[in-house]
Amino acid sequence: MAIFSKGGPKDKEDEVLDLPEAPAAPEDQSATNAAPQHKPSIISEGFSFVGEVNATGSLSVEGRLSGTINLSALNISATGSVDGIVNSAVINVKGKLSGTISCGDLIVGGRATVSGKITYKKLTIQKGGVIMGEIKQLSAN
Amino acid sequence: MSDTVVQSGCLFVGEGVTVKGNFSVPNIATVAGVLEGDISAHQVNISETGFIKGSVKADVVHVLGELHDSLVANKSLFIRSTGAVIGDVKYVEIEIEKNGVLQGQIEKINRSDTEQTPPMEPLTNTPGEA
Repeated sequence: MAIFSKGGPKDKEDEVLDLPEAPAAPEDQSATNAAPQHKPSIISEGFSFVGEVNATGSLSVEGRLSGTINLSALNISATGSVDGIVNSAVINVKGKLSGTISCGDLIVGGRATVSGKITYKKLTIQKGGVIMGEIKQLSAN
Repeated sequence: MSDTVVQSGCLFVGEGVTVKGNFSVPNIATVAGVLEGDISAHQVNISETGFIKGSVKADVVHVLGELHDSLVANKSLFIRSTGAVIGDVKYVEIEIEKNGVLQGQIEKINRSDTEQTPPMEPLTNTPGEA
């Protein structure tokens, strides 16, 4: 389809006329630096990732993720599973989570399973949720 | 919360009362004071002012106060927002309200004696929304 050449803003204007869609909004990381509004990253169903994740934003896991994970928010959906060393301010689990987990808010949904060595500040478990392992609370304040 | 109308087979430890020993309660044990020792009951309710140190075995456990050492809940364990359970915990089903505390070695067990295990799927096919 249309080719946007970054160097030529004048060319872009011509192409805008052809395209009814809005022209490429600047989605460069440098442009979003000003506003710290992060879109959640997604590891979708069927997607498996092994490695290290470091982010200040949030991550939704519908597939599989294992490794060392440092985030501010982690959402594990019903199909998702996460394993490894997890550090996150907020973890919302509807699927499976295992490993060494350290977090502020831990929310375990009704069909979720969380196991391992868990350190939390605030914990909520909905009825039917499963939690196993060595669990410790850090003082919430 | 719970009706304390049924008195037979029940134990009530009032606020300010401290009891020590081993207790076998066929029905509901409500602890608003301090209980030290082992207790087995059908249901154990620990009020906000209640404190148990020892080993607790029950089908249903409601915790608004504190429970230390060891707990086996053969059916349900409810930890309310003011509640804290610290120690070795075995449960079949658990629910924790936000700010409830759970600390220690936690294990999920399968219902051993009472084999009336209902399916996990709640039957929500109530055709009353016409």
